[in-house]
Amino acid sequence: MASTLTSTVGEKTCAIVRDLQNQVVFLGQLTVALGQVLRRPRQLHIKKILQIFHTAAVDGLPIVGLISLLTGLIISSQSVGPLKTYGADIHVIYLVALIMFRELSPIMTAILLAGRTGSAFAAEIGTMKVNEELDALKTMGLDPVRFLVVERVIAGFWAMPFLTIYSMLLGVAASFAVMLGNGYSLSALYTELTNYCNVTDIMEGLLKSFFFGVLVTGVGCLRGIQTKAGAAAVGQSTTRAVVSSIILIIASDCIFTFISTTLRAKGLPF
Amino acid sequence: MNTSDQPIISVRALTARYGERTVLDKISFEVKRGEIFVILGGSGCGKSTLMKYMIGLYQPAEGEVFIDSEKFSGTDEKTYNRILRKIGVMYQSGALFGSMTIQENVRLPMDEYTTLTMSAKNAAAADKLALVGLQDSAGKLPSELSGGMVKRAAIARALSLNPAIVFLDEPSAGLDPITSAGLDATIIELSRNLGVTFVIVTHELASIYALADRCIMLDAKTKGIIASGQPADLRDHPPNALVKSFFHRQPLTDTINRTPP
Repeated sequence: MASTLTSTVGEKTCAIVRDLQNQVVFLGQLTVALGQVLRRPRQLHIKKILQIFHTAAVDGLPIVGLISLLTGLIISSQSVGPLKTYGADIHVIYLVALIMFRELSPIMTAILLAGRTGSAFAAEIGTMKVNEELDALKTMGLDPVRFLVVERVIAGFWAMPFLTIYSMLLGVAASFAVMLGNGYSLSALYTELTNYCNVTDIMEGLLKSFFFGVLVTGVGCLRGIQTKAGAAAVGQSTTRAVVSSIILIIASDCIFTFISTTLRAKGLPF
Repeated sequence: MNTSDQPIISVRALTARYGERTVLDKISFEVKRGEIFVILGGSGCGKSTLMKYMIGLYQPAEGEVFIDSEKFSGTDEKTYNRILRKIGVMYQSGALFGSMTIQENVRLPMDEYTTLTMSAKNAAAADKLALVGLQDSAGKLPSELSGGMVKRAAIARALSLNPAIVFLDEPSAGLDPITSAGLDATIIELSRNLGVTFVIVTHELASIYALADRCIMLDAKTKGIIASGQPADLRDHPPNALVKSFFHRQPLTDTINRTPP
């Protein structure tokens, strides 16, 4: 029993280490492929990037908008009561804006991008793997990372901040709506917002969003490339893409938050 | 160096493993320039695996593969990429890119490796499609084609860079007998007209008789070659019971006794 447990733990640990190795190797391949594309930009298919951007960003606007609106509404309506007790309910706007700008908009958008786009990339590339299309690329001397991943990652890099700004706007707008309903004037709310929030709060969220865009699309593509044989493997790849993305988003957000908090404590921007 | 009497492919003591499991054990054979060479055997005997080692997708655990007298397995990247240009591959599913038209699929290797103008590449792609009888389907997507047409388009793409060798994995799999016979006729015509060497993986008897100049038969139990020669000879003079069962479409009653009949 003990040996079975030990061997299971050992196997799982080895699998995690191997997966981390694969992610590092993939990151290296992606960097090389991006470098090649930068040297020869004509290799990029701009039309394909725009197509992917449209699917990832423009088609994602309704769901991102809905979730952001609801989040802004829920946080505002739940916090306005307790804060009113202390006569600080006007600060709801500040609270919501800070949360949306710095944390929730980039994280929620990244998780939605992982669910919509990262999983789609994993399924698409996974199906190509099952259909031997990746083998076909290799025997034509074409690098699957450059051919399939680079354009998707570039599209994701721009799609994430686009969606994040949209999420920030709608989250704050929802909070404005709740506070207007509580009798505050638009000018009072605007003054509160501009007094306490500044452009670095938005920049912090945007910086994260660029990173999350690359992370989510890259992980989706990697899981697709790692697909094993059979139709069931494609399903497993999409699940792995979403789960890995969410774990990495949360983990990297913790690091970002730690860095920004430390910088703020030292009086530096962020 | 590349005289016609030298084998265009030489497989020497190739051993293939998936993890701990040996799939092919010390296989050696040669393919002559310009011939249609068939790798045959029952399901799961390692035919497609052998092809994947021959086209450089996998590195052998032991042994070597030579293409046109140059070592292909375990070579440096530059040599590997140069040798890759000498081969074209048609995969069992066709492996055409679904987001591209047939013409774009055929043009793709030219886009990457030639400096031709777009109109020249389109003309060359149209020529390749005409060779396989798909000149009227250039603008279609793979999803708009029948199974036989997909295979033909995949052959046209394999011919894109005028390779010396074309590998075909189960070309007649999933096709009706008429379409399959038509595809076989196309392959023979391409072989005769272009002088291309074809290496075909199949277990379809009709295709084997129609196509093969020579063949080898693999066996899953011995993990090696159990027969080689011309298909008609193997049919008429099978060297063992397994070969006899295969060519005469008989069930193998005694799987242990594989001595010649």
